[in-house]
Amino acid sequence: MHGWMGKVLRVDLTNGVLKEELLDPGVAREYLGGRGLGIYYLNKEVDPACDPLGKENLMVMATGPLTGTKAPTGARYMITTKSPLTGAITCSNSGGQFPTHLKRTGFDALLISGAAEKPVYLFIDNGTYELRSADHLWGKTTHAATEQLLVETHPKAKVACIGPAGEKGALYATIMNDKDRAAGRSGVGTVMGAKNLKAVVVRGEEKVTVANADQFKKVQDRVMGKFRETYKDSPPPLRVNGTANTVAIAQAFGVLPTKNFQQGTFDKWENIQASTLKDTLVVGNKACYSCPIGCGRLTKVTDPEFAGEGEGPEYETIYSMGSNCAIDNLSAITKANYICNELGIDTITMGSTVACAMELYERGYITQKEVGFPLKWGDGHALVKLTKMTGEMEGFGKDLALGSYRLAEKYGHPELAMVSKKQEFAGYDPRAEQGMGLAYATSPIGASHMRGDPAYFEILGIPTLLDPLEWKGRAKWVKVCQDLSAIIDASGICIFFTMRSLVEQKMEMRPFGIRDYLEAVTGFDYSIEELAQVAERIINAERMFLVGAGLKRNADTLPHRLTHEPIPDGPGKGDVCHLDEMLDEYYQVQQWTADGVPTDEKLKALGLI
Amino acid sequence: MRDISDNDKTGESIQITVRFLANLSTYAPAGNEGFTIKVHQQETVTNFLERFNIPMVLRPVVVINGRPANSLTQFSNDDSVLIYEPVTGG
Repeated sequence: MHGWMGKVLRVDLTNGVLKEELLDPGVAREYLGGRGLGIYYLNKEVDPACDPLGKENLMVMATGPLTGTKAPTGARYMITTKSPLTGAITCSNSGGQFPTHLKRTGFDALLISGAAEKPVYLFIDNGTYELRSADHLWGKTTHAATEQLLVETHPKAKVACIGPAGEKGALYATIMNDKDRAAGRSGVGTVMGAKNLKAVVVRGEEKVTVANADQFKKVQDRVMGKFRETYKDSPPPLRVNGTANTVAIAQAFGVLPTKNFQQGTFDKWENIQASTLKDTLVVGNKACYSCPIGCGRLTKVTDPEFAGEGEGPEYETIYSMGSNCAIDNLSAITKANYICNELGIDTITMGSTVACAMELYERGYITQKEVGFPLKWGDGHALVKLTKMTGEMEGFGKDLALGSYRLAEKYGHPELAMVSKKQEFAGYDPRAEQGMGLAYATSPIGASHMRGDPAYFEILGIPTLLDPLEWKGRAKWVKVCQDLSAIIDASGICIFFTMRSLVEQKMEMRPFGIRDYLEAVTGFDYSIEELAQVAERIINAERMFLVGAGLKRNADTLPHRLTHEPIPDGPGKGDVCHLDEMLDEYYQVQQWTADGVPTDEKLKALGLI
Repeated sequence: MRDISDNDKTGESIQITVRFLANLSTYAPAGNEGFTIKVHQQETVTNFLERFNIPMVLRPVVVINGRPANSLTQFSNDDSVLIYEPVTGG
């Protein structure tokens, strides 16, 4: 096989047994890798009704056929498992350097099952692999654990690990790789902690082979030639400002979530916009393996109250810990971001859970007695303190570690949690960006913009700009961007490069650039139609898992605030998210029943039954 | 924000506030991501962009008061205009 390494490694933590297994080329063709392989193995081996923190849950860490090649941004991997936060599947994506080195150890995926009796870590050193004791690492931050692991394995190894949050069972713990890159959503780190697995350490030097080197070079020259030509006079916007570009855009469109989604504009947005971040905190940028963009922000906070350095914040963190909490202090937001990275917590859920707590406090449903101190909108010190308490599961942090839905439910007001399937939204208010509301509600991992991001065509302008306030006919385009997301997530490349440079800039499912790379690398003569089918196979396979877990139309929901309380400001003032109407159209477009269940006819056509 | 007055010959000019985002600030009047400027009432988005020599390969997106504009859209007094290259991320 080319592109794929042709093997997976089974890691049975209960019995301490590691075993190689061949990857079926037919499965590889039909599911690609990454997210595709993840759901293939989950559906095959996991009861959707299982306890996500029990031994029966499987965690799949899988790269894609383009990971580790020289395809631009071929640096990604996906972690797929059942989520303890949502009860749905989760597939969480990350880049950096670790995924490429994982692949170069010779494995396309790690299938991690069971649970160890005591903390362990997995070390894969080219052709050899073993489980080692992690007793001495348990309790360490992600940074400290990474540094120690590089000393005791190999200085050129790469590490993916959990922090104290995952060890202690915070429901939205992350798996951090290369210190500051996060597989962030839905508690993948919580599952890893429940398995007593502290880290995966890899050192790999095996080459990822390409089926047709000449064809690959032609595609590469064409794609990168166009990229360089486009940016010959000015750098790409993501390199200039990182994802913080989106603050100004979201504010202009009135979709910047403010005060727990009470508003869509933030009067102090200029204090948290990209140019302010650049002028005050950014000290450099950072790129993943084989990435020509370099969107990562290296930052340093010199304000003694929030001093620190590291990577971030991204737009999602700036919204969730910034406008959503009415905080306009970038130093405080960035410090909280650093703490999340070190303790291993999802910044989106963390910030939005604090926002929910702030509203509960404002309304008198929680008081200083529960929190331990006053909790008012705009308090950056409180944000930083609560983030630390959550990662360490101390005091009120134990409540926050449940996520906003369970927090709000505990204090009698679950309607104040801005979630879908108990996971917190991304930084777009769907009352002024209709398709995003449908994407949140139908994402297989709970509220997320990354399993299909309508922001691209509703506010960011890729491939074009549609009216974000229009909901009629929107379902078709949400499906298109979900299908594209599935292919991107399964190929091993990054959406930031792909959506602009490898997808034809039309409102259609036309990933010609991805097809060209896949064909050159794997040797398989993929057509656009076959890739569309791969996408639908992945999405329907995920939906099968959700239905098995009891999640159908009943779970494709948005909070009452967003479907019944008109947004009070911005261009969308007076409107709500028209979810129900869009859902009916969406299920028809997907060929699912009115209850959101894939029909047998659809599943048979995709080879799923 | 700086006020950059247009050379108004017809007397039919209005004032708008403009922000160029990220790499497009390279094409804004020197040192100003955001500025106010006078434009003619009949000026379209295309006419406006031509003033700044933004390469069309960058496909600038123009948003007026939070609403997508097209090439023929004209401005109104006190419009707030955001101009950016289609950008990934979020």
